[in-house]
Amino acid sequence: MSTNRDDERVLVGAAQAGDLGSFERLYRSTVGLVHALCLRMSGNAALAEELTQDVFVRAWQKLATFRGESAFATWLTRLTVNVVLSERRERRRREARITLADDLEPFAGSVPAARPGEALDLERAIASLPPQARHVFVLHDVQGWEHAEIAHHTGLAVGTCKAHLHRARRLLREVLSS
Amino acid sequence: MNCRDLVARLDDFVDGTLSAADRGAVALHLEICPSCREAEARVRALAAGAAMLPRAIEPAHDLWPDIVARIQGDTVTQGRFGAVRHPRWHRRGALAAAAAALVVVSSVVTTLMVARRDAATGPSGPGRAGTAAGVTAATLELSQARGSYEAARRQLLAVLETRRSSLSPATLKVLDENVRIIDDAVRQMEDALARDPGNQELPSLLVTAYRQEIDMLQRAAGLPARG
Ligand SMILES: [Zn+2]
Repeated sequence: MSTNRDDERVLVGAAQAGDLGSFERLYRSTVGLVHALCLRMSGNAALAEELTQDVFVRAWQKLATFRGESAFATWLTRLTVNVVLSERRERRRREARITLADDLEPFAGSVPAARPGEALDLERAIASLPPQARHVFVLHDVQGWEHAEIAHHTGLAVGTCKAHLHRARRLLREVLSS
Repeated sequence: MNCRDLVARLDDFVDGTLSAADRGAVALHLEICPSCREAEARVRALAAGAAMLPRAIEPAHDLWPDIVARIQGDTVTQGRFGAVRHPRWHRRGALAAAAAALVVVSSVVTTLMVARRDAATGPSGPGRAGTAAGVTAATLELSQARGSYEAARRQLLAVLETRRSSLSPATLKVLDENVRIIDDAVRQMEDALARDPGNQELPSLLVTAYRQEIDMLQRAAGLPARG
């Protein structure tokens, strides 16, 4: 799944110099991470694939700005969060009408569900969260980010992030125990 | 500290970000309050479950060819965020995730439409006097989406029919139920749109419902055989 740090440095260097083959190897080793994050943050499989593509196109364009201070996957994860959040902002502006996701809020608890397995239940419950609560929950509880980092990326105040996490956990417990 | 104070601090307590003084007060309350102890256990279980979810989920399709195409035609990709996204209806995937993940949305659509329909029985509800240009654009997008949706739906249902014997009865039950729910929602919205062609919200809701159904069918078509 992951290349070791030295291999990675070589691949990144070659990709920065324009070698698409090296970039493909970086893609192969990280696409699952990027796709999982896009899927959970967007709650939509078709959109997640488009977002995953967007992330790697952006990564290629911005590769020169990667200085190797963190692992490539860490850099890519931050880029992914920015791509997902900016896509959502753009889409909301463009559509300028009620988005379905926001209308989910009052109904988030009224979900009929089968129980194919706990993890799948949890994934489905996460997908049903209101967008901002979902973003914060995925970043905090799945990705392990701290509130300060989430606040930095989302532009929310730390207190607001905490409120979204609180709400997400409450809604998830309700959905999962129903 | 009472139960309400505790609930307000429980996330920080579980996450280890509470001040020492508050931490002590929370711990003290937990000693004496079974229901708050249960709440704490559930928050911990939820956070643990989330932390154990797989970090990587491979996409159902190899996205690399499209990425290369976009990288090599780089000028085209500029300003992409301004373009309308066309869902990849034609693709048939093997994403082994929850078949029913998006059913949530479709049942909400149903609820929403029933609520809206009830609220909009008067001759002129609020927000119905949209601009002609907005309506035309939305309607155009809708008619394109409807064609793609119907073709993709037929194709995916045919695939699923051939796979029925390999899926578990529980999965099939959920799937059939979900198809029915979304079909109902789509039909209700189509009816509502026929009665109220100027409605600004229905086209985007419909397109979303189409997308949800195709998405669900794609997932179901790619579910692993029972075992
Ligand atoms: Zn208590």
